[in-house]
Amino acid sequence: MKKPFTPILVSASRGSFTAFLEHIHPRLVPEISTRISFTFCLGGLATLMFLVEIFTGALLLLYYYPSLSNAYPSIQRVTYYAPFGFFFRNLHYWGGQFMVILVVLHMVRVFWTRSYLPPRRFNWLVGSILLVLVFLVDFTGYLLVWDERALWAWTIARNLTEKIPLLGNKFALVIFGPSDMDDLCLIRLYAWHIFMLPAFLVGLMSLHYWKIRKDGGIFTPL
Amino acid sequence: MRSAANFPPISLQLPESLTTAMSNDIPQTNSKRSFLKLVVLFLGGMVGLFSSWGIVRFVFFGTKPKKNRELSREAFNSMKQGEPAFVPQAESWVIRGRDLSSSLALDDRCSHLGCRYKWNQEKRLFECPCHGSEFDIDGNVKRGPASRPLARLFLTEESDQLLRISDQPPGK
Ligand code: FES
Repeated sequence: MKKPFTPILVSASRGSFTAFLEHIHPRLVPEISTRISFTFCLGGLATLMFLVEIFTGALLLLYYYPSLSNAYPSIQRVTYYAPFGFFFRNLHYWGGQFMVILVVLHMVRVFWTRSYLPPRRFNWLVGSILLVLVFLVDFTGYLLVWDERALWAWTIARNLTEKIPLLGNKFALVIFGPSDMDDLCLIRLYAWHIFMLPAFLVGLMSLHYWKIRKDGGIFTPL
Repeated sequence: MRSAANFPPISLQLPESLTTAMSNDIPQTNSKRSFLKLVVLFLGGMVGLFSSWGIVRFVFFGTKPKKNRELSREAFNSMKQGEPAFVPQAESWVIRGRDLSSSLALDDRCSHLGCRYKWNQEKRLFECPCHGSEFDIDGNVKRGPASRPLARLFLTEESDQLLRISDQPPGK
């Protein structure tokens, strides 16, 4: 049965942006959600890291050059020559590392507090996909540096994918591009890293947050 | 199956006093609070200003005008043949040959990570102090970690008095 529509008086006289902010950050919240030990803010911090990644990534985009011979020099250039380049690059790097750590801790917390039980089963599933996506986005970022480690990580990942029975070669082609290593491979990784994976992430994150409230989570369905 | 019982309804009927308190147009009379607000605004503003300055500098990297490298004919004539001479204002080393076309200039930045290198007279090599790359007098790599030769530049005649150092070979 659908709930009857209840008008919310707070937003009536304000701009829709204020109303949106108040939706995210209500003035009255249930006492239980104010306890830090309830969630340890892990999901929120991971989101913060994601925003940091988007922001610093957009800046690094200006100088990154996705080709086999220019990728690494372009990263050196941005790190050692561009003003504040070392800062944005390190923010991007460490933000990525912390995002992985935070989502894993977040998952452990959810498991520990048994928050995967109904009614949150669906959100646990969404969260698991998000975890995989975060790993992938981190991994592709690691490859984009295209130093020796990236090269061998790429080789191993590609070989592993090819070993999948029946469809392995097809998968490898779609994910990594043509098998003779050329610039297209790096461009493919680049596309995953800066567009496709983040796009999936944003979509699923929105679903994740919406479901949290729907399931009576952090600020409850106000 | 979820039922309404799982979600005790949250009453939106708040007491009159609270609803008025929730509207924004109540003036802030709590001075501690407004002071904190001010501090937060100030700190946020400083951080914002600093980071936008950094971002602007970052974004404008690489838009500097090209180096204008020049050398007076007189200075060139006073150089010894086959001996590299550093020309600070042109940011390059000039190796004079028999005439202009057999002379060579090298960008004064190491091809590894861009440190300024020096000429070692005994070894007759350019040595980079940063990671120890060595280059011969033509700029070829003699020792790593540099993998590319030094950037070679050409000397061309600008006027009677002036020579130009550029990456364009003469006649172009
Ligand atoms: S910068 Fe010259 S050797 Fe590294």
